Formats: sequence, C-alpha cells, structure tokens
Amino acid sequence: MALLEIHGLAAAYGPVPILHKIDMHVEQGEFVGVLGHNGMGKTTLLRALMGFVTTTAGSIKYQDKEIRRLPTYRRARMGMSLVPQGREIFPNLTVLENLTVGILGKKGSMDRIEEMLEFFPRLRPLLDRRGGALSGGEQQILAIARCLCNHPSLILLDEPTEGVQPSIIQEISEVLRELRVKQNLTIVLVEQNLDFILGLASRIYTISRGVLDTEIPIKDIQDSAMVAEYLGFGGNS
Amino acid sequence: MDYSLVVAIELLREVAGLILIATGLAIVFGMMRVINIAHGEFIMLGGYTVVLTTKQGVNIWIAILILAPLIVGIFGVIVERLIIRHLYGRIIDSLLATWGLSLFLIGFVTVVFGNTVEGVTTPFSAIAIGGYTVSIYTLFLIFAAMAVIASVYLTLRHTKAGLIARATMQNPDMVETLGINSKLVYMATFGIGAAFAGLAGGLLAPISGVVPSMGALLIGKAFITVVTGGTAVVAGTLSASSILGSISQSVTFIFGPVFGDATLLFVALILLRLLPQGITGRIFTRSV
Repeated sequence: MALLEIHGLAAAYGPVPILHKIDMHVEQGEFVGVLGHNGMGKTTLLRALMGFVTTTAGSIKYQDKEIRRLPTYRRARMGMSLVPQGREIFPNLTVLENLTVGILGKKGSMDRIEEMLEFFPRLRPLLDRRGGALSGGEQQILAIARCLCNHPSLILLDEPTEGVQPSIIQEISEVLRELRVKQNLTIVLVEQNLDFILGLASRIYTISRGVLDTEIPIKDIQDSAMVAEYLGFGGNS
Repeated sequence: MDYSLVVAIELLREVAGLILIATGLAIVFGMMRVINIAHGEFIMLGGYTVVLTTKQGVNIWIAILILAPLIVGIFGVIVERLIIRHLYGRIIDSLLATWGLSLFLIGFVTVVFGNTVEGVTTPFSAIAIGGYTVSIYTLFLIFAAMAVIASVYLTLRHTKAGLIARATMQNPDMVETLGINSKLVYMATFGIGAAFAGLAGGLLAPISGVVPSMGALLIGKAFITVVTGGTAVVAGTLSASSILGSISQSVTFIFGPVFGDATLLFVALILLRLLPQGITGRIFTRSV
C-alpha cells in the first residue's frame, strides 16, 4: 500500500485550470522528487495536496483514505505537512515561538524543540530573534524545523533552495538525508535545482503544463544529460 | 492642585471609556480584518443584560463582570457562525452585513423594550477631593480599562492561545498547515471581541443608562479609535485612546462636549493623513 496515491487529479484557481492530470504514488519512507520549470504547476500540486487549491477531479489517497475534500488542518493532523515556497515564517514571532506553533498544532511535547535544535544547531543562538529578521537560509532551516516539530510522516517540500546561499543548501541537503533515515520520514520534493534533487531523490517525476505522468527511470537519474532531455532543459541547468 | 487632580481623573475617564468600547472592535479588526459595525449594538446588548438581570435581583457585579460578557460573547459566536464566517476577506461585504445586523438589533430591542432610557443605580458613592467630588465608580472604570488592556496583553504575549492567535493573524494558511483549525480560532476571536463589547456595555450602563440607539453614538468613537490605532490590538488601542481621549476631553473642558467630539474626529483625521496605516502601522510595529 502506497502512503500517498494520486489518480487523475485536476485543480484550478477559480476558472483557470492549472493541473490537468496528475498520477503519482509515494511509498512509505521514499524520497520522491518532482522536477519542472517555473509555471508548470509544481507549487500548485503541493498546495492542492495540502488542501489550499480547489481540486476539480481525481483522487488523493493518503494512508488509504480519500482526503481530497478534507480541510487543510485535518490533513496536517493525519501527518501531512508542507514547507511552502517562500518559507512562510511568522515574521513577528520569535524563532522559539515559530517552533512552538509547530508543537501546538498537534499538542506535542516541548521536548521536540530541543530535539530539533540538536539537528539544527544553527537555530540555537537565534531563538529570541524575530523570524522576519533571519536570512533566507536561516528561515528555510526554521521552516523545516517548525514542520518537524509537528511530527509529520509525509513532508511536502516546495523549492527549499530558492534564494538560499549555497553553503546552507549543502547543509539542508545533508540534514534531510539524515532526518529521513532517523525519523522515518517520507518526503516529496519539488524543485528546479537539478543537482539538489539528484542528490536526494530515489525516484523523480517530471511535471509539464499541469500534467504529471512521467517517471524518469532510476538508471537515467545519475545521468544529468538524460534528465535534462526528459525536461527539455537542453542542458542549461 | 485639587482641580488638576480632578481634571486628570476626567481625562483618564475619557481615555478609559475609549479603551473599553474600542478593545473588542480592535481584537476583531486586528486579528481578522473584519470591521464589525454592529459592535455598538453588542455594547448595547451588554448594557441591557445588566439592566434586565439586576431588575430580576441579580447582584450588579455578577451582572456586569460575568453575565454581560458571557451572554454577548455567546451571541457573538452565533453571529460569527451565521454571518461573519461567510465574509472573511471581503471587508466591504462584512461591513454592510454587520451594518444590517446593527439596524436589526436596534429595531428588535426597541420593539421589545421600548425606546426609553433604562438605568441601573451606580454602585459606590462619591469621594471628595478638596472642594470637588469624584464618583468612585469613575475610578473603578479607569481601573477596569487598565485591567482589560493588561489581560489582553498578557493573554496574547504569554499564553498558548495567544500565540496561536498571533500566528493565525500573521498567516492563517501556515497555521492550518501545522494542524490548527484557523476557522475555530476566528470563531473564538470574534466571540472574545463580542464579550469585551458586552463587558464595556455592562460597565457603562450604570453611568450612561441604556437605550436601543446607544450603539450608534459609541461605534463612531470606537471605530475611529481602532482605525487610528492600527492593527496592533494592545499598542494601537492604548496609544489611540490616550491621544484622542485626552485631547478631546481637554477641548470638552474648555469649549464643551460638541467641540470635544469634533476635535476627536479632527485629530483622528490628521493622524490618519500622516499615518495611513494607523499609529501602529508606523510606530510600535512589532508590538501586539
């Protein structure tokens, strides 16, 4: 049984259709990547999975339950979580308060924050700083830590490398790899940074004009030229 | 000396009055960007709650401090469920809908209780300050306003519910992503805003009496105070009430109440011209 199974999903912003046909499945413990250019529906896909975008057809099964019509907070309580594009840190809350909100959503224990600070030591000296005053990279780490405070089993990651300095991209990449093993996480990563996604994902889908039905065979993943071919990147990545 | 003390108390009373009538509205506006035009009628309902229950022999303190906020708070939750929740993010529509609610409530209360002023006896007597007398209830009102603003501040700053409220105010989608039902937060917030309106009505009933149309007089002042203050609930209400209350009451002393009210509006006009986002849009931007 797949943890997440999506069939024929379509979604629209008002009258404008964005996603036409999404077919994918994610197994427990997998790290799945979704590659695509800007404007192809990557963010919309994750927002639809989380319940922010009106879906018009198809099904989303999570842990074998149909969740397409559930409100966002119910999906979150079932263990789904989204680290959104732009990170969406609460700007006027301190770093510690940002993490605490992650705890409160599921009434978890505050010990979880300490556990997260072990994973992300970079946050420790910043605890009293306002979220809005952090750098892009620090915010990205905070967003991931806040999400983990919520004890998710499936994390949807939306372009975590966007606007983040390379040294922190490296750090995020290492932590994600470590976390997946230690916390038994399943991760769906949406990216256009080819190297980042290649370093992490065990399977990669490509999305183009709101259609996702192509999986890049595993044997081709290590071959950047082949991946570029699938996307039509023309090797300019 | 005595005279200046009395003047100071009168200024504080006006500031306290603004704080009391504006806090509930500020909570709802600051947290949810909804302007509840029926806020004045919520205050009126709080006043009627006190008048009617004390007539039935209920202790006046229980009526003012418990029943008025409780009953109006519950009424607020019902209003949120029936009307407001359909109008989030549509500020003009919510304004019109609550205006309609306001007219309905005035009409309804007039039909049931009549268009007459009802009163309750003011608790406490007066004390003498030199050759002047000041009602102890006035001092109590000032104290109550401070208690109201302090409790809002402490709740927002130091409780889990306050943290959830502040997070929801900044980003409702993100809060949902973390498993919190933002609609429930909004419902509770609106109910609490209504409860503060009820409390204000209860506290003001002994000095001003209650009449079905009293809300119309109060909503203007409350609205101006909230808009002048900006979206930070505590800092905005406190700063706007202090500035507007003390200036308008000073003018009232010299030229009479009509000029006092006119000055309040005039000062608000200037402040909003200089600070279009309200006082807390420019200053104290990080406060709650």
